[in-house]
Amino acid sequence: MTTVHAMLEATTAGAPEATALSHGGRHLAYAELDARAGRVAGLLADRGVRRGDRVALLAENGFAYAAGFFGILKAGACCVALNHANKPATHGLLLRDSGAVALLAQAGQARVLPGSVGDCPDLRFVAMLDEGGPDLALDGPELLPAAAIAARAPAPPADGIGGDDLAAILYTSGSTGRPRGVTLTHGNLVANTEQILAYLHLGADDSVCCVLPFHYSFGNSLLLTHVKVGGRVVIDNRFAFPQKVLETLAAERCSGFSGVPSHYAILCARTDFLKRPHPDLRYVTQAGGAMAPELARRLREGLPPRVDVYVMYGQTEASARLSYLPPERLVEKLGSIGVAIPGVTLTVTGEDGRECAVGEVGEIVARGDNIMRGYWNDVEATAGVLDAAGLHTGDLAYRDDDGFIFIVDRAKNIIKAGANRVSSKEIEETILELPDVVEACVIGVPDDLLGEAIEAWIVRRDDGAPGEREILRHCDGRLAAFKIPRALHFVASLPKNSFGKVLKEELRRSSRS
Amino acid sequence: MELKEQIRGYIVENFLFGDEGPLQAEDQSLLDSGIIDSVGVMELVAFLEQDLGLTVADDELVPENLDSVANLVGYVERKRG
Repeated sequence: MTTVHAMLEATTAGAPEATALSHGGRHLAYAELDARAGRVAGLLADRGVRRGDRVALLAENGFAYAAGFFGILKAGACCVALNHANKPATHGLLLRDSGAVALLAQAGQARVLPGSVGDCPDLRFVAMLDEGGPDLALDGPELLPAAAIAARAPAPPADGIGGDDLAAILYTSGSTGRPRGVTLTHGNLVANTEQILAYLHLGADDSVCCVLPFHYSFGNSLLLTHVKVGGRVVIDNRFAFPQKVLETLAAERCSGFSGVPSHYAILCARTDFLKRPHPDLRYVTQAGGAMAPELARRLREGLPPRVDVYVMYGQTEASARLSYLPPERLVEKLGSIGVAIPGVTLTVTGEDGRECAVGEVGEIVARGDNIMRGYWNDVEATAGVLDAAGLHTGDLAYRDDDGFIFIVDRAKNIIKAGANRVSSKEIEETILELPDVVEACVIGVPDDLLGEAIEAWIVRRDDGAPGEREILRHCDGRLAAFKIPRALHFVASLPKNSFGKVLKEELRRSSRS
Repeated sequence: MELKEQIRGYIVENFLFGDEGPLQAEDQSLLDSGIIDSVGVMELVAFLEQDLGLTVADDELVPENLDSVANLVGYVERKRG
């Protein structure tokens, strides 16, 4: 099987009545999901969308997202999955960068559309995926109501789409501050789906409680692995109220739960997650940043012994997953990201390209059919991470005697706040837009909930202006909420080495003291 | 200060950086409006515990108590009896 949508079509053919998605007590069968995706594909084809065109998708997790995603792929187009947490200006930037010819939007996102699509010359139309949004007027692209999709008969998948065709562009933060579009082919996503299934052993009886957005590679992998095996994804977008999610987990009798470290930190700190019997839970998985070993230990000790705890590691550039720590080795290898998943090769290499000895720190380099083709329209950035050796992850690590990998440091200038990869440079540049800011340095500092919290150290021309509130409001108008610094420090100067490079480690030490 | 103003003031200052524009109605969902997220709820709970002196039980972390200014005011008043 070479395409992502063929996985949905094969499952639909075998078990059309099985439930693909559950959300808020409603259930969507595979046949219905496949038909809705076919309607989307039909509309896109009617409107001239062709093989290789980019079509953006702006939706929270829900039936509409899944129908939009698979519909774009059935049409032979490439899905540009937008993060609904971003501001309209960022949506506009990514629509322009990707050259998207169409945007599929959920009614709940309607309020941000006018500010997002105004200056996108390639964007021909915006199609609403569901009813219920406010009346809109868009300056530029044509606006199609939800009825345009609903009234269209399902179309068959476009001819000739194969493993080498682009399936998705997922934007992620790069160290330069400019978002980078990770280009993933059908072959990449199908390969990673099969690689994940080879160690997670999911089946048609499995159902995962999903709080991770589908536009994020980890969330996307939950959708694809369950569609492949005919399992069920139970959507709950209310993790802000974690007890509600636990009620869903129990009521829907989910066999799995997946989260990033901050999800588990909140579940352990503010719910009875570790006291519940979880009669249906078979496993939990964690990725999206390093989880504190103590938190992993608490999960292992608090959950029933039959519940497997998987610590995993990956990157968007690898479709999602690169390594996992076999659950039976969790306590013995606490703090490790484990070993390469089946079908992936991970080496720890020194600066000269040779493989490091046991215990020696080097960079993790990954190879496999899941590794991206490159960054969209960015040859230079692609060459910076991809070469004949594979994907240079930027993560520094060592192997122990048993071959288990332990990460010791991460690529510079990238902060991991919650599950989000945040570029310190992007935030610094935003703060520096204010006229009386002379210098700004943004760092990540350890945080119990987020893994890292964002702090900004700022030198102003004069004391007093701009003030904290003005700077934060400026950021709030331009950056997604997860990129806004949690603390600002005003200083007379930044510590620097003899070459003028800011000593971030010194700032981290000052922050701790 | 009146309780409602205190809660509203905290939300405007802490999550909206002084811009009252996005917070239009007392019964407006803070989550659906994008004013708070899961970490924001934890900050809100810290405010209730540290500044208002409440003890927030885990099973009280629900939208009916926390997801609007009106719900927060009602919750605090019920807790204070």
